[in-house]
Amino acid sequence: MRRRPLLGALLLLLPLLTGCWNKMELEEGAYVLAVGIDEGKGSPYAVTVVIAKPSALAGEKNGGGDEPPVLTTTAEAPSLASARAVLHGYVGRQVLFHHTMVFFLHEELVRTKGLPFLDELLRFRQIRETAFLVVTREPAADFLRALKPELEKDPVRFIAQLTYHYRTSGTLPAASQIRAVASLLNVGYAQPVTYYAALVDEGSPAKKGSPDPRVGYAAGELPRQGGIPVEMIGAAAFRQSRMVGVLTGEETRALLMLQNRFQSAYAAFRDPRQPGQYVTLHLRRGRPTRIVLERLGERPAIRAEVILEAEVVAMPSGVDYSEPGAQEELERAVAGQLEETLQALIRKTQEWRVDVVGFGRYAIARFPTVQAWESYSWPERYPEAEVHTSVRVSLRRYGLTLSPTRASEEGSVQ
Amino acid sequence: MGAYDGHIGAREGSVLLFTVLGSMLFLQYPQYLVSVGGPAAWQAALLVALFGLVLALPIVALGYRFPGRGLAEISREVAGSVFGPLLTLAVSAWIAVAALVTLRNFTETFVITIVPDTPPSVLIISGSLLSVYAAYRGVEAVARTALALLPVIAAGGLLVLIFSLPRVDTTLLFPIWGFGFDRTLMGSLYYASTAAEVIVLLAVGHAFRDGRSLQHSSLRGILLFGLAAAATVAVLVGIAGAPLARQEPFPLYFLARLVYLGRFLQRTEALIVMFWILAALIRLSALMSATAISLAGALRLPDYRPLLFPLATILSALSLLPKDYVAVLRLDREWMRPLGFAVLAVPLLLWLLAVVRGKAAAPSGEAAGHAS
Amino acid sequence: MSIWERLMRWLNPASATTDDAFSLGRRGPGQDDGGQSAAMLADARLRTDALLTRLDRLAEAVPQGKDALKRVGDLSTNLDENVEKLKKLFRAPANKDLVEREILIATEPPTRAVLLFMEGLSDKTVINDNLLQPLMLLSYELHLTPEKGPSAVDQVEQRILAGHQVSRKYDRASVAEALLAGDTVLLVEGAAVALVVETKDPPTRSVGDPKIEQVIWGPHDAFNEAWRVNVALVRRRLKDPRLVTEILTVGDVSKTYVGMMYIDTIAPPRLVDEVRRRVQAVKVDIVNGSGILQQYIDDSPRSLLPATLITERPDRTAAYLSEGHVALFVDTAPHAIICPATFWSLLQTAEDYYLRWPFGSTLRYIRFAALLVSLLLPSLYIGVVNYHPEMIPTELLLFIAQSREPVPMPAVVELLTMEVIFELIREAGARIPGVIGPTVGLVASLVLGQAAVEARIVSPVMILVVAVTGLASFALPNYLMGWGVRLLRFLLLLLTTVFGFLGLATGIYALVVYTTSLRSFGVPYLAPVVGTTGRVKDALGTPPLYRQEERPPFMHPLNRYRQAEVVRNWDPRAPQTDTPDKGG
Repeated sequence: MRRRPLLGALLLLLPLLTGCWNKMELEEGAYVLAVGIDEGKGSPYAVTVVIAKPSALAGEKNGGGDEPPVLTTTAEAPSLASARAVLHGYVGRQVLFHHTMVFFLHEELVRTKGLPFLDELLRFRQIRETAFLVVTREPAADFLRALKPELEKDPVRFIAQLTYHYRTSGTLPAASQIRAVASLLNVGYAQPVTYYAALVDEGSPAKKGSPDPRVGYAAGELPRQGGIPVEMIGAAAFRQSRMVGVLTGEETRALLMLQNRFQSAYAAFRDPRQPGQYVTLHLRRGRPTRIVLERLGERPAIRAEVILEAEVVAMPSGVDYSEPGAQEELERAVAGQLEETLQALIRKTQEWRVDVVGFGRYAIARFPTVQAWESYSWPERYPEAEVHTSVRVSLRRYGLTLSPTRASEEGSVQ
Repeated sequence: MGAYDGHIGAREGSVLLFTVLGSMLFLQYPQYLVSVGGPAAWQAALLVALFGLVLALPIVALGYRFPGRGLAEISREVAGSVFGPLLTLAVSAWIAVAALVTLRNFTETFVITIVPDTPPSVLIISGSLLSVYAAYRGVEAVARTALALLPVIAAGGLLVLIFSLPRVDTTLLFPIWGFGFDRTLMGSLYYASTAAEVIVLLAVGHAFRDGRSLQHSSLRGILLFGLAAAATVAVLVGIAGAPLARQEPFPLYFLARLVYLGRFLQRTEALIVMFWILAALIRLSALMSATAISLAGALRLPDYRPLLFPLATILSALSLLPKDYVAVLRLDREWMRPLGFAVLAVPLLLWLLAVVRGKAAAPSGEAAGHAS
Repeated sequence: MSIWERLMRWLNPASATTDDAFSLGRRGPGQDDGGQSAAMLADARLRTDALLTRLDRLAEAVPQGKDALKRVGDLSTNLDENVEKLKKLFRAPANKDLVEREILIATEPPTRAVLLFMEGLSDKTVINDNLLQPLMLLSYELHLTPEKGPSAVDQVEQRILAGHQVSRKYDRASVAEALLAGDTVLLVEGAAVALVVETKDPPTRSVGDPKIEQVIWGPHDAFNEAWRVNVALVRRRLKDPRLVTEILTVGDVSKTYVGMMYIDTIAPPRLVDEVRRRVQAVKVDIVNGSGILQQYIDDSPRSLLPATLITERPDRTAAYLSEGHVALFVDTAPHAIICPATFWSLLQTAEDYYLRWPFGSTLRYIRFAALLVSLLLPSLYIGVVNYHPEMIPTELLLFIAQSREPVPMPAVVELLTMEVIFELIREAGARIPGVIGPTVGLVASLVLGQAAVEARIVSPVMILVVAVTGLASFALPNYLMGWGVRLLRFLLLLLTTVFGFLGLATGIYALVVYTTSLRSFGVPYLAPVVGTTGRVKDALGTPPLYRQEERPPFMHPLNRYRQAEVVRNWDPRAPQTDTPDKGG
């Protein structure tokens, strides 16, 4: 009878054991928010980790102004998990990758060596497959060090919020997560794309982008001044696990339209009656994109039809496009410019021999078995395919006013 | 047999069988289906269920012939007092090995997925202890626990599937016939021995009041399992693609990791694994009580409960035998599955013998343990 | 006494005091037990004497037939002897509670009689007006001339004694029992029989508000300590002649009345027999509360969840009786014990039915969620924070990490400390005298919580967790279940601390296995959700009242239907059927 209270007391003391195998207190962890992967000099990779500082990021006192809220440091190692050994040499807490949201990959690395560390990203249980990949033009370490956003304290949250622009301006791909990339790696009917970002060197006289879709907006070449020197727009196209090319913002928007994932965007188009001026429209998805595979065989033939709805937001040229004839002209002009972009996209992808749009999805439905599909070998057929695209734009609304204001009617701008 | 043994009805029996079979859905079963059918894995799931229904018919027939009796009593009555217990012992051995493999498999799964530093022996011991406790309280307790926990376990699976639906790419389910329907058929036939676990219901047959409950339990359980497997595998292939799915030993866990609802609900796989632990424990308890009951019946012991303790000890010790995780998987796939057909042959044999020798039982099944 | 004397006394204790400080235990060898054995011997002698007398009379009465056998007892025809023996039994005149009144009944010639009653338990007005007055004064008008002996008693009983319940008792033990219940006993010279008149008037509260099961939208009467009042409260609600009240007595010294109520033809007879069997098997000295009786008749008294329901509301009792349950009313306890009870009945209150059905269902779901929260929230928190930080949204994680940085203790110790403090506050609030009670609770929780955070002993999130858990446990309607849930919460917390979510899952599994294998008077504890007897619509949610046509099937009633199938048949939208009423 005396043993029972003793046993009970021992049992109650159990929770005080601080080493119950997997137990860890929250403040003992160093949480990695983002990882950058470059080529290493001694080891295969140079891993840059961005570790959060909880007191600076989430504390009540508003940080000592210039104290960075994250710790950015680089370690050379053959893999992420083994980088921990190096990091634990000088990071006081246990480095954990549970909350890593972004992986920045150096363009050179993925162009030459591809994505071999993808195996670890799928196998290591600390890494979440919902993290997304961003290919950077400059080495990832430099990129991460330059990441000091002004509207946010947390740089990784800043990047995450940049990715939401896929819905608001359509210039980023719809999905760039690890599992989206990995699930397309071994199938033949589509190739993956990822986000693409670049650092901007304010001083250098690099060529700048323009709203003209023939030039487009590319990452690192946005026509702007001020703000954080980091730009993320457009996409990087991969063939299997190797990167082959960069798409501009407009081309990515065209890609989204073809993939039926385009939501809405504000875009400027060349005014058909006033050269040098631009009409700004709010484009929205109309009917789902129709893609019909007309012919298989040696040279497949594909017809794609994109249907969009538009609302006029700005007509500075003074031409009244609300008259019926002018409206149709505008619609045709906009559709024509969009088709140019579509064709540019198709040309680029056929030149790189990658089917990033995923036309192969429509082909695979025609084959009864996996063996038949694999013997057809779609990635070889796609570059030879004839792709006809057509765009139909319907102008529905004109904003708050109908005809243009008097001032713009009289004055001739530029 | 023994103290207070309650009865379970068709509802509880089918949920018990569904949980016993369905807990394998959380492990490698979808992987097997994808390796058989590729993108057409859902067809494999349905075919396996169909074959299973057919293969389970002898068990149902035996249940009708001998209502309220367990496997041990039936085999002794039909096949004599030497050959009968031998058959029962063989079946018990198979169920015991299935329990062992389950124990080790789930232990490895949980160690890999959520508690990497915990020694597996801790999990094995606690798993055995709990299933002994549940089996001690009776088959009725295990079945009712399965029924009570069904919403929780089903939520664990369904929520993962539902939250994964927006990301499903239906193109991944093509080509529609996978590797060809004939290959799918042959593969499904190989895995149809999954239905052998229905013998667990027959082993605890004295918990059913009549043959109708047994029939409904078995058939409904297999049917539910087939539908659940088809849905799971369809979503899995739709998200990950057939080649990736073939490499995943824990497909539902993989899906659970992808659940990301906004910024506030993420990486909830640990929560979902908790539901799986419940399913695994129910499966283990059911298998262990089936083994103990058949053993006790074959050896003519008055109660099966004392057998539970040595049985659990032996199983725990033996479950540590396979060297690593791959060895366990190979044991399951290359030995247990073919032997399942042998186990399915036993009720068929018994039923044929019963028909030939004209044996049947009166509808009251009490004091079966003391039957001569 | 002067200072000098006090100093001397202190310096030399032996000079002024004697060494006989009082003690109950033995102080040295060979001391006696203070007369206790002598008292027990005397008591035993009294009882044997009574027994022997009864045996003698029995032997005499056997040849005289059945009526004579019924009248066998140990009273004698001599009035003084009876009174003397009764006073000895009650240890009067030392025991001042027994009052003796010697009177002359106004017959011709007057008959000697003695009236005995217990002070405080009997209604003195009735004794004066309805017993003494007729016996001594009014009977004079009748001019009765009975013979001495049994016929005198008959005359007195039928013509003079103006009490509404009169019974005859033949032996001292039942006379004592009657006296102790508050009745008045009349002993007449020359007859070996005592007349017992019902004059019970024990001190009780009036019918008051329920203290624990309060309801916003329903009746506010609750049971009180007099079991007859409780039975009456239930009878008001079930005016059916089939409602039976049986009286059982429990306890050798307390002889507590236990009233067993059930509705014949609805309650299964086997259940009634079983309840009766269990109550009659209780052989203890006192039973002075319903909780005590509950522990004696419960199926698994050591389990953390009760298998019988204790309620203080008559409307709930009436509802359960109409479903076929059996209710036990323990005298001096303001509760009814409902047997059998299922787990779901512990989660129900009367209000669920008084409100309209969507609100009732919502209440039930909220309560179920409260059960889950109060059981699982601390374990979930520890599991997530200590074992699976990947589940927390990143911003929240960073916030918790930085708020925990200055706290030196592991999260578990924090949680346990706050839980212990919360329990202390709760218990203190329950024991403090009424006026300052609520204030203390409020102040304590606010101030302590704030101070603990400022003193860096706990982190703010922990306060939130503990507070929500505590609130959720107060939302549980059954007090006993609240205790069970509290203890189970600690067990689960222990498991989670050591094993993480794995431990929590194993704990939940063990708990569910245990609960599903419990039985309450043969009914599975989790019926009807889990059971072979089919589904019932109102275990967890409440469907509209006009759809609940059947009684719960787990009681195996023969009389299944309690409502007509179409109850609202004046409603043009209700289905019109021609079938006859299936009402029960």
